[in-house]
Amino acid sequence: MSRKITIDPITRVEGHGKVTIHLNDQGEVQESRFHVVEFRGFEKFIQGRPYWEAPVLVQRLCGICPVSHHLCSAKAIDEIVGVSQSDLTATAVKMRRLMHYGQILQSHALHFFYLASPDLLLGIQSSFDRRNIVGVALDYPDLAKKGILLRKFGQEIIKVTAGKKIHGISAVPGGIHKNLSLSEKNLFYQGGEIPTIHEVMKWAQETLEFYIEYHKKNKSWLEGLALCQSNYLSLVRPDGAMDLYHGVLRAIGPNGERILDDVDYHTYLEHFAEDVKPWSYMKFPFLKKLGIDRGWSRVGPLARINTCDFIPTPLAQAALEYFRCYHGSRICHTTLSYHWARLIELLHAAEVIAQLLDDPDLQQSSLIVTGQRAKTGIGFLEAPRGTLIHHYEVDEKSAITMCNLIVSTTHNNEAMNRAVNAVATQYLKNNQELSEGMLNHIEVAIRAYDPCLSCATHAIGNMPLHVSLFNSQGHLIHERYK
Amino acid sequence: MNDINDLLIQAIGNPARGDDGLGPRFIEELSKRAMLATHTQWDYQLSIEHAELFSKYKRVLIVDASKSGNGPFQFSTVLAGQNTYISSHILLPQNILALTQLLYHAYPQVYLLAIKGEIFNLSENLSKVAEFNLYETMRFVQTTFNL
Repeated sequence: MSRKITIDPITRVEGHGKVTIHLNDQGEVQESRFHVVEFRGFEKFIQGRPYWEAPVLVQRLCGICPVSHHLCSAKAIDEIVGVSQSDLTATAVKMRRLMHYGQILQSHALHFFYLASPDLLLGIQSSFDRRNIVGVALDYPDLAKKGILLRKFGQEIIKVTAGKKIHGISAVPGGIHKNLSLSEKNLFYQGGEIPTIHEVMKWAQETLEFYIEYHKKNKSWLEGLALCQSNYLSLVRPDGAMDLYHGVLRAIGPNGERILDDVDYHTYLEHFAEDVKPWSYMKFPFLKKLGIDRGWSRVGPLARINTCDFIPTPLAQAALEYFRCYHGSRICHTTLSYHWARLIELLHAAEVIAQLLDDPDLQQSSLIVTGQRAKTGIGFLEAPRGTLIHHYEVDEKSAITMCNLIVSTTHNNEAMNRAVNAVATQYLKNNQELSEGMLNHIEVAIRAYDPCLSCATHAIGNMPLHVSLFNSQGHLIHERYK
Repeated sequence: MNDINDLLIQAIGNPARGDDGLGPRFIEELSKRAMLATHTQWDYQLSIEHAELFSKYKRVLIVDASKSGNGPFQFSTVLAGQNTYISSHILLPQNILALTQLLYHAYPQVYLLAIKGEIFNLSENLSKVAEFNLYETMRFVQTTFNL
C-alpha cells in the first residue's frame, strides 16, 4: 500500500517548516515537498510607512539576521535620498562593512557550533535526546566554548557598530549614525570579557582544520547525501573577488558557465521572476532566461565559494584553494559542503574584521551625505544565508508605496525541495518502518542550507519541522513531530 | 538572598508583541525603583552565549511572559537538562544551565519567573491584566530577593 510521510516541525532551523513524502503502491518515493507554512506579509505591512523608518522596521523580520535586513534596506534607502554607494563617506562604508562581517561571523559560528555540529559530531543516527548542543558540550567542551566565544565576538562587533546587539539603529539614509571610538576598538585587542581578534582568527582556523579532518574521515556520507547539481548565484566584486557587502551579480551554471555575467543588480527584475506553489508560502525565484525548471539557483556559502574567482584575504584564499583542490573541481555540488564553505567564510570574516579594526577611517567624523531625492531604491547584500534583495518605491509624501523583499532562503527553496526528495528516495524504501534517525537525514539536508523560514515568509514565529507519510489514496498513515 | 551583587536578572521578551514585553517592562520598572545595584539584562531569547554569562553569577532570575498558568505569575527553580526539545536558535533555561555547568563548571541557582500575559499581538503596550500581574510580580520579587 502506498504511504505519505510528514516531518513537522523540522528542527534546528529558524522557522516553521514541514515535509511530506508520498509513497506509491510499491513503497517507493513518488513525490516529496518541503512546505513553509508561516505567513505574515511584511511587504504589505511596511507600505505607508515613511522611507526613513525602513532600515529599522525591516529588522523585525528576524531575530537572527536583523543586521542583514538593516544594511540591505539602508543601501536601498540611500538611493531614495539620492546617494549611491560610491557617494558614501569612507567611514560610513567601513562601519557598515564591519557590522556586516560581524554578523557573518556570529551567524556562521552559531550555525556550525549550535545547529549543525550535533549531527556531524555526535552522528546523524545518534539518540535524538542527546543530539543537540548540550551533547556536543559533553563530548567536545573546548569546541563548544570556542563556538560561544566566536559568536560573542561577532555580537560585540555588532553592538559597537549598530548601537545594539539586536535591532540596531546606526545605518541611516546616506550614511552611518556613529563611528568607532578608540575605546571601542580596543575592546577587540585587550582580551578578557571579549576574545581578541587574534584569538578569533586562530579559532576560526582551528575550527576549519577540525572540520577538514572530520570531512576526510566521513567523506562518503558527507559527499553522497543530497548531492545536487545546480546553478549558483551571488554578488562578487567587479574583479571577481568574494565580497559579501557589495558588488555585481554573477550567476553560473553547473559547469561554471556564466548565466549572469557580473550585471548591475539594479536590473534584477529583467533577470528574475518568482513562481508560487499552492502548498507553500515560500516563493520559488528563477532566472527568466532559463525558465522555472532550469532557472533556479543555490545561494549562500557554497554558492559564493563557487562563483568567486578568489577571496581577497590570505588565509581564506589558501583555504579556498585547498577546498577546490580537495574536491578536484572548480565547482563543488556537494550539499553538505555548505558547512565547509561556511567555515571558510567565517575565517574570511575574521580576516576582514581584523583589517577594518586597524583602519583609521573608522575614527573619522564624516558620517552622512545627502543628495537629490529619488522614487526608487534597490539594495543587494550577501547575507549569511545568501543573496538578499530589498526594493522600495516611495511617493512624494515620503511614504513607501511598494516593497519587494527576496530573501536568501527563498532562492534555496527549489534546492531544499530537491534535497528532501533525493534523501527520501535514497533512504525510504520498501515500506520500511520510519526511524527518527532516518528522518533526521532529511533534516540534515535541509539544515545544510541554514534556512531562515521566518525571513523567507516574512513571518514571526516558532520554527520547528513536521514529516507526514501518505499512501497512494492520499491517506495520512504516519507522521512525526519533533 | 541578600547579596544582590551576585544576582543577575535576565529578562526575555519582545516589547513589540504586546504582553511578550513583560520581561523587558519588568527590567524597566526595576530601574525606576532605583534598584540599580542589581545586574539586569534583557534579550529577545536565550542563546548559547547566556551559558557563559550565567557562569558569572551565584543566582540568576529569568523573567519571561507566559501564556498559561494560574495566578499572576509562576516561580520555579530551573534544573539543568539536556533531554528537552531543542529546535531553532532558541534555547530553554534548563539547556542554558546544563551548558553553564558542563562548559564553565559553574553551578548558579537559576529561577524562572513566568508572568502571565493575555494579549500577544503587535503592540508596544501591555494589556491591563498583564499590568496587574506585573505589579504583583514586582512585589513578590522585592520580598523574595530582598531588593
